[in-house]
Amino acid sequence: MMAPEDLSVYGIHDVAEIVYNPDYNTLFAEETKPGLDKLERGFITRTGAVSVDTGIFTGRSPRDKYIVLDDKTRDTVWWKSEKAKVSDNKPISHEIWQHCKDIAARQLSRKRLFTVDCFSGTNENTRLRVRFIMEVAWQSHFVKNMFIRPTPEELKKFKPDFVVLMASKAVNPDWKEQGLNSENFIFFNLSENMAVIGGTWYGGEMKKGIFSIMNYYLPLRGIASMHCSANVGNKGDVAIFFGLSGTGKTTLSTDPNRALVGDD
Amino acid sequence: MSKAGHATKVIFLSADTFGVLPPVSRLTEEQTKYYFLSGYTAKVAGTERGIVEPVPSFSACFGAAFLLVDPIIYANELTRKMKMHDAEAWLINTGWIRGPYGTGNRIDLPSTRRIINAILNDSINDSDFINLPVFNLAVPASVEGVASDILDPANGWESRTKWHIAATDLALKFINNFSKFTTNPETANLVEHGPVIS
Repeated sequence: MMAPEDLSVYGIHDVAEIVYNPDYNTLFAEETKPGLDKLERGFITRTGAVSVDTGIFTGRSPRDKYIVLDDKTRDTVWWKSEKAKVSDNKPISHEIWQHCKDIAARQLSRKRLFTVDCFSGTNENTRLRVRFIMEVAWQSHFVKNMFIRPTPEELKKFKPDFVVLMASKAVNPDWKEQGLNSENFIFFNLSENMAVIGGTWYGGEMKKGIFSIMNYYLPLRGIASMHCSANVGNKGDVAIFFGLSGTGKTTLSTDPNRALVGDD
Repeated sequence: MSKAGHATKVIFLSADTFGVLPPVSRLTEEQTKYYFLSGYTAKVAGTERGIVEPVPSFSACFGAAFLLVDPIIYANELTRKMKMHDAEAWLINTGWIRGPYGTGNRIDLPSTRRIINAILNDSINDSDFINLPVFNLAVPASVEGVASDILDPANGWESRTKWHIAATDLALKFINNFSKFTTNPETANLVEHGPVIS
């Protein structure tokens, strides 16, 4: 379990209540309760699933994604440059990071918060223990679905390797002077092992953000991380399929004679 | 299921709307790195009013937006693991055959599935292989259940010369893309394993 004061290490203070790793019944009640704003509200579809509206953010905002440039990342991250134009990794200073981290933490302070502790990666030796902190119920539902849920035993001794503050309602008013792309921010700090997200409501920003973090740590530990689908035959023979959207990755890894290991 | 052993078959899917790439080809270790780093597919897009034509799309490691370290590191890890587990890599064109978008047609799904089955059950390696010019890819002469006249992509075009012109044009796009991230010498050395224009 977690107490409100445990969040002060992230700069989040005077938290009213923490809803820790909510179960699906709690989530359903929270995201459909009366009085929620448009983007906070879950709608029940005909099948009984909950759908949400993420406003103008119907996809990731790659131009708002930055990584803190420091001694750890300077020579390890593949930075965007004249010679590496296709890289998506743009640097920010520690000062700008701190500025937006404070904005996100202030937004989450004095609130009733949802926190979700979960795993990224199936392998117990290399999985990342991730903690998400947010004020919007459906966002905690999203990460509960997307990541691996720990057992009650595993939760008891859970110590996060990486923490994400999701503050969709907060924006950075000083973005212009700081030379940033917009008031929205998706910042990663590999020394503090934290990400702060502001402005965007797109849930996939959390999923792909952690995928990017896995893509930092795994290859440096001699593990091949990749963006693919995989299936396995009855002799245990595994095939992996790479391809950009529209090339048949999902169609071709779905095979009646083979079990799907994962898709994307 | 979300856990399985090491992969022994690595399959790169490209939907080539230029109709240049063969339906299937076997990659060497260096070609595996090259095509992994290229992360190629093509789409069709409107360029002028009423004109729709093929447009290439490259994304390093088939997911450039999510790469935090130099792409060559992922390519090296992939091929290192492949060597350890005796894995093969194949490049498959799920896009156009017998000409580009507008002239040719998209390869039928049953043929692609038969190709993948032949890879998975190893029967594809019983075939003879021919070398495809420009791209220097090893193309099987026959795959069970697949019309063999489509395996050599130039066959289906109006003339081999027309295929060759289109292949040279696509090769240039590969070469140009690769120059955008050859920041380290190891990556730069792979250029010769991609398409070559003589």
